[in-house]
Amino acid sequence: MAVNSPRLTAFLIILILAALSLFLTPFVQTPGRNNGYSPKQPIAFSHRLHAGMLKINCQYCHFTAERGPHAGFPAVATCLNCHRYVKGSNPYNRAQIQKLYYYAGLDANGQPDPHLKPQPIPWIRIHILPAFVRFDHSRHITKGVTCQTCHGPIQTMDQVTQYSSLAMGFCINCHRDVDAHGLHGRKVHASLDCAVCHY
Amino acid sequence: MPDSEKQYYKSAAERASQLDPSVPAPADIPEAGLLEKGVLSGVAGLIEQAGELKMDRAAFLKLTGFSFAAAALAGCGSAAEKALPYLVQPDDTLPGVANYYASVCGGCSAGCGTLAKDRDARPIKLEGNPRHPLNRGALCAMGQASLLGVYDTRRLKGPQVRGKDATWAELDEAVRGGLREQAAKGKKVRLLSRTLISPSLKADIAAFLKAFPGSRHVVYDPLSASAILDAHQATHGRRVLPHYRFDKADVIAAFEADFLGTWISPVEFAGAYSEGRRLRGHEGRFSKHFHVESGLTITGSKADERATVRPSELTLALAQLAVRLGAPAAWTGGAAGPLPQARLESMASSLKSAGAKALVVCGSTETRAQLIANWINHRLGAYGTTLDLERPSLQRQGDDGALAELVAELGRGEVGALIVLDGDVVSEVAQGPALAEGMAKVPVTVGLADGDNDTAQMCSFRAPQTHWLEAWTDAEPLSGLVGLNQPAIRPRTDARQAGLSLLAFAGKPSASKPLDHLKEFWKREIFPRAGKGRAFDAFWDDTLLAGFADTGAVEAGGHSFREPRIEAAAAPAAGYEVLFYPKVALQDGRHAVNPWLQELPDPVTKLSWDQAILVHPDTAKGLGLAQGDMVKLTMGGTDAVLTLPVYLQPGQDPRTFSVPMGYGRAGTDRFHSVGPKWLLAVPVVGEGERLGVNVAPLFRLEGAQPLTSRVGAALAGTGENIMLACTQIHQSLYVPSYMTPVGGRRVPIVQELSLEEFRKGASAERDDDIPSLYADRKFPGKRWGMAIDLTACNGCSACITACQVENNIPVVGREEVRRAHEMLWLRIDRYYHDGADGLETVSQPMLCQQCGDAPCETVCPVDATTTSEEGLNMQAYNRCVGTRYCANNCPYKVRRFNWFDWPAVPGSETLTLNPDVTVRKRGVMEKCSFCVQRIMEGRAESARSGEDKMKDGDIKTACQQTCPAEAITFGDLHDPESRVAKLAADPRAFRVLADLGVKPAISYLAQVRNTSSVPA
Repeated sequence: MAVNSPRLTAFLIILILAALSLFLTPFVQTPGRNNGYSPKQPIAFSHRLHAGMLKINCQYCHFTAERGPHAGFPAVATCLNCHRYVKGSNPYNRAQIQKLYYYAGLDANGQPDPHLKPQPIPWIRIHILPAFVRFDHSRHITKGVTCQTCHGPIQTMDQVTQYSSLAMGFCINCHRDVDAHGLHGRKVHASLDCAVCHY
Repeated sequence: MPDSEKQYYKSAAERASQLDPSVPAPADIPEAGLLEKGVLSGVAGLIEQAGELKMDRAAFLKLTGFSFAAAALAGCGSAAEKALPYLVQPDDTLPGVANYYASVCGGCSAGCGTLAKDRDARPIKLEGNPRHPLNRGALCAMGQASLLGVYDTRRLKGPQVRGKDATWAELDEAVRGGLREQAAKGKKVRLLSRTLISPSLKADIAAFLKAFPGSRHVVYDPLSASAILDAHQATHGRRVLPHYRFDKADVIAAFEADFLGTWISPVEFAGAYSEGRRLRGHEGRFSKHFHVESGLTITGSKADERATVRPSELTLALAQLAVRLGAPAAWTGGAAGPLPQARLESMASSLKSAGAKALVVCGSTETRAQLIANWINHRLGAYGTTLDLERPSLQRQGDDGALAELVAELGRGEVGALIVLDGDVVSEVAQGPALAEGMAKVPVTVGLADGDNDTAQMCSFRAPQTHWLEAWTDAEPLSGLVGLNQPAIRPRTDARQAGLSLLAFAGKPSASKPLDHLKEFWKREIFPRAGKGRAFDAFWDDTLLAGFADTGAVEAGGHSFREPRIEAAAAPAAGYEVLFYPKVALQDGRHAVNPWLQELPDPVTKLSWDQAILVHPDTAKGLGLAQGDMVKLTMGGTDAVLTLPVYLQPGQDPRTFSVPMGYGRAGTDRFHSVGPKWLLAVPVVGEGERLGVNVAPLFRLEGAQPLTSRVGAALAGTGENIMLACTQIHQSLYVPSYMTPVGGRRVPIVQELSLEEFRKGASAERDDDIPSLYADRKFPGKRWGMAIDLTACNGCSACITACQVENNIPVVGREEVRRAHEMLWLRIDRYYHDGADGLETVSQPMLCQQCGDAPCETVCPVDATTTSEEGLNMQAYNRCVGTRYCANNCPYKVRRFNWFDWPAVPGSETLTLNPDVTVRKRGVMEKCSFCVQRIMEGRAESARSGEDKMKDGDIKTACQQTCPAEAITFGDLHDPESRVAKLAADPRAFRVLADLGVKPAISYLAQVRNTSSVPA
């Protein structure tokens, strides 16, 4: 069927462009695109087990969250504080802990293995802010903002998923909200200045 | 009231139109002048140049196609980013939080205390150590920039034997064997270095010399102060350099001594000088400063009374003063002397009435001049007050005589082994060519330089030493004041500390590591003098934290003065003379490969990258020369011809041409890669070429003394004219006359007051409370503000380099500077005025004024620049679309546009970038942020400490932190007790262009000159 109506041609072109843009949108880097990002990690570390069931304080591992801008990843030695003794209660857990031993340069029994070179665990980074954004964990933690405010119900996650969009609107909403209504019943001032994050 | 009708000029063209109304005023917008020169020729020029490139359609499409592909790729997602934790968390490292390590700056031999700011075990910025008594927190541009040296890609990776990589064991074996063989043959063993101030290294040198009887350590200084030491040997019986106390001086007379910029210990001297001229309200001591020089220096610019002489007349000028103060008339040989009678009278009477509180300093390399200076200082009774011989300075120890002897020994082929500890001697001294010739005859040559320089390249053995930021060493700039130099980074190359190398060469290798080796020395030598009954470990820890230990005077010396025998100075020859002078940033050229220092506009000339011959504008007019004319400079006593462009410099002695030293150094060929990468890029230097000409071989030797001047100079134009990379007229503040308020007049941009009128209650002209159409903006909490004291500021430009390092400001290269594309957020404007008593200069640091009603904000179509609730004028880079409207609407012209994605600083691999500051991309506007990252960090720090209360002075901007004169104060204008609020209400305070109604947050404090005839 030949298309000979100019109106129909224009309509089709617009339709094709719209479909194309809809199709391409997920591939374009836009703020908030990482929402729901949940990569498989080199070791299946479970926050549900450690933070949820065992109730280990978040800052036992992410110990710089209160003291610096970055929450920090625990050093391999920090894992071994417990896992030198805790070797897993089922084959799946044992397999994960064996991986930890491998990275720490230990043999299957947790003893130094001269053939292995200790190396950092190559965790996949999930929460990534663009280079022109600065976020200081300590400023938020010391004011009483909980980890879950941004990271969601992390204590229920076996495999960590990016819960919030971490786009600018997400930050602004929270800043507006606490500025108007306070935080935990206290009056706080959360600035909306650009230079709070962008410099 | 200030002289409000005073006319200032920035350029020679502006001056000409002020002098002669028939000469048209230069274009309102100085850049218009660039258009004529074809530099800003815009599209037409580009098309023309592109035509020359003969780019065909296919190549063009290829290029554009590539950029589309790149843009498309950038939009796609990237591979998973890894987060690698430590294996074991270091105790003292928090990710994202800086650590500061007290150390000693190795940028020159002044030995200022530094704090190295480390992020993730990597130094990214140097700051002065506030506890160090020498520099009290300040650092010069050279010190700031010397950080780059540790990341220099031109450093040797490890030891080399005859150009081939070797192990330390192989090198030690070979050198040791060579040394023994030469010693056995009765050949001489010589060590050569610039001044070394490390006592532990000197102990190692002593141990080395002991192993080879008859061996000697020859010390030289490219900027020699040997004459001062020699003169004190003659008059005081000790070869020492006095510790000059500018803070204690009421009257200062300086003869060719640029003590605020380049002379011996400028950071310390600038602080002390400022201390002696610190006004508090209408009160405060204010010293009187006389200056005699041939070219214009930043020190001369600050002088209250200044006279120019030719270099050959300098000694006669000193003799003239001495005779006026009672010296035998024979010292002048009956010559009239170059100083005008009135100036001489004023100088002599002021010095006399100040007595012991007077200070005469002389930068001459001629012993005769120094003897006269000593005599005058002794006559005035200044020894013991303004000149300290009990705790002398060790910052210059060079001996011209010893160097001359070494050159002779080398020439006679008597030297069997030469170890060059540091420095590039063949490029730095007058005897360079002779030294190079002599060195070629030496069988064993060892170079300890860590990079390639002309001397090191001649050495058969290369034993690279660690950079000072990697070394455990110490420094004793003043007798008894010993700084501890701790490393801020693990050695990046297979280098070894100089002392350990020497011990290994001597066959007595130290078994201990550098730290233990240093500790052993301190336990033995320093601790017994400074320990005061403590355990060594406690003493060591305290010293490590403070960065220095004070052991008190080492040896008490009496001041028995012996009258010097001074022959009459020869009458100066007629005609023009040439002076080779050190520039503030480059000095002797030891950091010539540093792009930050090369790009830094010179505080006097505002030339960046270019080496030029400075000529007085009137002289140039007489010779028919214009700015940028290429000339051939010839001079007496040498066949050498220098071909360089002419730069018209007000304040220059009319019969003296000045040529900066420190150029033409090995390694400057790296600047070929500086600047943006695009089709029409013009490199700073050609492939394999050096930047500028080295003038050190042109120094005139009188006996052993290197004189940095020559008589019989002549200039001959070549007919060529080049565009100089000079920022003097870039971003000139200009307000069209129609903007003058009706019935009113504009408040001057720079203001000066004489001390006399100021003491009587005069104050700066102000412009407060002008009506505004805008609703008054409220800043409910803090309002950040700044005060800049023009009396203290000497224009040394340390702040500019500090800002550049702190804020990741790119180096743009010569061509971009020519096109007024320099990216520096902070510039120092320089205004000249031909006063009745000679040239008057004002230096005015100009940066974003953080306006309350900012004109840049109202024109931004995308709200990328807005005012914060604390009065900061914010720039959101990610929001900016690059219309440049804001820059066009900024009356202060402080906004900078990224025309390109700037490549990394060559040789640094961007390892010095501050992770707290965004690296800006092409197409984005940027400007001074008042170091907002420091404000945020200060805030976070106070929140972390739990107090959540910042004190005045807790936050310092990078420029303020490094200022040797403490001219800059930053703080909260809303806190009535803050220093900045008090300064903003000072009688000298005024705000630049505040009559435009923009409500700037920066107050300037008027420059005061001491015009009184008696010390105040």
